[in-house]
Amino acid sequence: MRAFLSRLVDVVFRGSRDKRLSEEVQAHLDLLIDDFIASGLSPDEARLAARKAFGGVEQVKHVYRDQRGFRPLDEFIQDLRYALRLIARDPWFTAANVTTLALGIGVCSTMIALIYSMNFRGLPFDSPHEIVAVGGEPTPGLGSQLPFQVFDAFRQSTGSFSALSAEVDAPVNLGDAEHGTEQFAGTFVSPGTFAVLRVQPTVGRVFHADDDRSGAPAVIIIGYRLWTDRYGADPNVVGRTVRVNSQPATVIGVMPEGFTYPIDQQVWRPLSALPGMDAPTAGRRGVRIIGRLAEGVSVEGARARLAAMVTAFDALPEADRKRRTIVTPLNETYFGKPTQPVPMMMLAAVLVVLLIACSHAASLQLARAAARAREMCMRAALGAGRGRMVRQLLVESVVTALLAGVLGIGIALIFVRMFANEVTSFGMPYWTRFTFDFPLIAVIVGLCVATGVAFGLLPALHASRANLTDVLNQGGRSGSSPRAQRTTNVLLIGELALTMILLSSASGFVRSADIVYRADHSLDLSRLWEFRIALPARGYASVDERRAFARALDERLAAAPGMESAALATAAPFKARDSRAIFTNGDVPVDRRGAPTASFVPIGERYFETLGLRVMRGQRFADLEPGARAAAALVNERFVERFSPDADPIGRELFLVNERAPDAPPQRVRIVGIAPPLRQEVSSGHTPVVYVPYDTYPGAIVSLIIRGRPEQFAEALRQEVRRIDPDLPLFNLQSLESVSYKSRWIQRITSTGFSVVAIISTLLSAFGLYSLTAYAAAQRTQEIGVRMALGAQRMQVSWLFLQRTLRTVAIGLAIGLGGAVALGNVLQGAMVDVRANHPLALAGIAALLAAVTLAASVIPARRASRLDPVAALRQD
Amino acid sequence: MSQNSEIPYGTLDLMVLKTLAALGSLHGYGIARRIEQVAEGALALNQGTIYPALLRLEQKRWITSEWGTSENNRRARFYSITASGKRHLSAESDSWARTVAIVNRLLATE
Repeated sequence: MRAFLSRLVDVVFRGSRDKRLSEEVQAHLDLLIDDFIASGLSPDEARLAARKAFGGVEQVKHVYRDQRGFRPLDEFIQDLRYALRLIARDPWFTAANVTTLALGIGVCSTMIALIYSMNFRGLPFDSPHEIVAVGGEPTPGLGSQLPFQVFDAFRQSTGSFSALSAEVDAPVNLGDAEHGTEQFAGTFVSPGTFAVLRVQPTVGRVFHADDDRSGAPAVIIIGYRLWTDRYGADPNVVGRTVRVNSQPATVIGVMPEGFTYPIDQQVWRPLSALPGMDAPTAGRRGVRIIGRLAEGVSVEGARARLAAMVTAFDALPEADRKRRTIVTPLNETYFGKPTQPVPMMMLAAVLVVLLIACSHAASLQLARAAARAREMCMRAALGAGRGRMVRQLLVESVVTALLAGVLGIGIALIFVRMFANEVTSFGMPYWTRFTFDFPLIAVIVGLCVATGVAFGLLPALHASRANLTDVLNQGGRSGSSPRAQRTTNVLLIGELALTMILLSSASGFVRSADIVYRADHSLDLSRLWEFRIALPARGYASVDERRAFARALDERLAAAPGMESAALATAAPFKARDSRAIFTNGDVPVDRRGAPTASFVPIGERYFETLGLRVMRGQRFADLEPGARAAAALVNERFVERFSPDADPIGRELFLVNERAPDAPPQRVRIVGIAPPLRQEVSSGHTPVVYVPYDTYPGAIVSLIIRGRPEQFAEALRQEVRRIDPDLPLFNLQSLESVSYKSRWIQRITSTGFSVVAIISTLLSAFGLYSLTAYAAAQRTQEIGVRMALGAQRMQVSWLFLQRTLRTVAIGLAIGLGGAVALGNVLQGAMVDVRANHPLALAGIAALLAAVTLAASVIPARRASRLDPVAALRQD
Repeated sequence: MSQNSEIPYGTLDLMVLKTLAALGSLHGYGIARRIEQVAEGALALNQGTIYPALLRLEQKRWITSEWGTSENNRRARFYSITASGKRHLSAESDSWARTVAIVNRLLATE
């Protein structure tokens, strides 16, 4: 061990050790010479005798050196220096290689970083693997939540769990004596939540079981951000009384900085405070359940026990007893299993891109190996073993790959930031961070080393096999075997096909995104705003209460100062979430699964006028008698195409079924007019929409659509609302421009993502054909010389190389076209008003790709034809 | 020349240690000369080869070294044996003696 350390130190201080040896040897020789002179020899003779007695100075130094450091490490450092020198000597070659690889590593690292950030980075809790989410097979009514009564039964027998809790998210209006009322994201939690997560408050305490009894004093826990922003981080906030949804409640604790479980919550309240929890029907209410597994209990073990309980639960309706119980690690309830097909497919796709980049780097390396054959032979002749030579070449390619990795991580940083900006407001759990930490960087560095070996091994083996005598005898035709070239060719064909597929998908998504963008921007978005009000269940539980509020608000809106026009709706355009199953005649079947649906948007007076649109045909709600208005509906043109393609829809009856409340009777409405085109739903283009009067369907979230300037209307509007109910805050003022922008995120991600990968792939294809042709030309220099000497024209020589490129491009494009059409049919559903396989688009892409790749190979082909035959014959 | 035998593998370390134990601090040339004297010309020693041996012993901390001045005023590196070097030497001497005895007995049974 000591010797090991001493050797390690020596590797680092090799210079000083070398110097010490030289001095020692010199001293030794001097002493010998002194002695020989003393014994009567002349100084010259003495020097000679001293040398003889000492033996070979260089050999001694060599043995000494081997003895001193680690030979492999020493050699490695030597290889590294040599590699760096070579990399610096040929900057263009290096730049080409590094760029190619950086693109591949960049897209791969992006994908790895995203998957890692969402699925593999540990959760910031104590023993996070013990935390699970408990749910059921998804249903339209409950989603994947379980009814509260099931949670209650689970809680009674917690053998499998050390803690269990139920949660319901709901926004909270928080007010107090000094501050205005504000809206915060909140969650009602049973007391177990903090035991499941094992999180301690910064100030005060968390909920006890007593806080969750019905009739207990109202308490809340607030988040760190709320604490600092609203209460100036005053520790005396604990014990203070605030108004929560108009009811007094006492602050009992402040959670630590950064804790916003589950999404961006700043207020937590006991589950018993959830309105309706004291009603007899409370047991049917869906809750989200999380638990901490007891020691030694597996996920599957817990699931089996819970499933058995559910099946044997008499009080449950039969449908609920038959529901499958699902227990998953906590993170998977948000992101699904780490090995879902879609991310895995995307990962596979980017790995293919990296593989392509590797094959290019490999062919470049092969091309240069031809030029370096002489050097390799010289090294072999001087005694370098094949292993050593391969190792040296591998060090070179790994260093290149690491350089590319630095650039690639830079590219990935940009892409990941772009992605994170797109998705931050989409309800991801608060622990998800799109950052690069050490394990992630380590994985990427590993990927770079693997890349370096992958693209360097074949050329290295090839180069090190160079036949000594052949090359040194000047006659050697250095170059790769036909098999290696065929492999490169097949790779290129595959790559062209892939590029063709990617480009056509990208074009479909880009056109689709453009159509949606233009449709949205046909409205004057920049002057349109949305304000929201959330009506708490206390005081607004019934339809009549909400209707009264809506009517009072609507009256004030009609006469409100500072705005040109304003209207109510349940949601702003572009983000309607509600839908209804549609039946065109009265016999609504019992089993309504699979029925066609349409977006369902209750709208107030002046809705279309405010947006600057007009009802296209038929009557407006305002034109109708109040009696007829209550059951009236407007539908958009897409709805007509879908449900009434032959007959005039005006006057027809519809039956709407709420899938989330399947027990409620179908609502009968009569179509009175055709609505103007307007995108309502979040992520796709124009789907069927049915508009109904807000007065008939007043919701708990009120969306105010306003045309005007916020600096003129915002304050006045706040006061108007306060006059109706002082505890209702207006929140989330945003322009419809930003609503539209946010709602188009999926289009942006698909179109940008596909475009980036497609462009990279195009560049790589062009580059691949360039290097393949250049390589072929370099290999056949002498042949070209002979041909030209025998009278071949330049065109003929160029043609020689272009021929092959043409064949490769043609085969690649043909395969790609087939693939593009097949994939286009699959992706059609994700595109809006666009034919994924538009013949003109496909033809255009094929022509473009052919042009780019052929242009890339014309350059080296022309260069080959410009050769001076005499020089060509002499070369090599 | 043919009577001059090569140094058996591994014995040079032992010779160097013994020399240092017997004579105290010595420079490389002194050690080489001493070994040649004791061998009375029966050993073909390339004096240079003791330097890798010295390094090896130093790495194992059996000897230490420092710069000094030789008897004829030349700067030279002086080596001396350490306590652990002495322990190693006595253990190795015993084992060497046993090995030699065994080999001798084997060779004697003719």
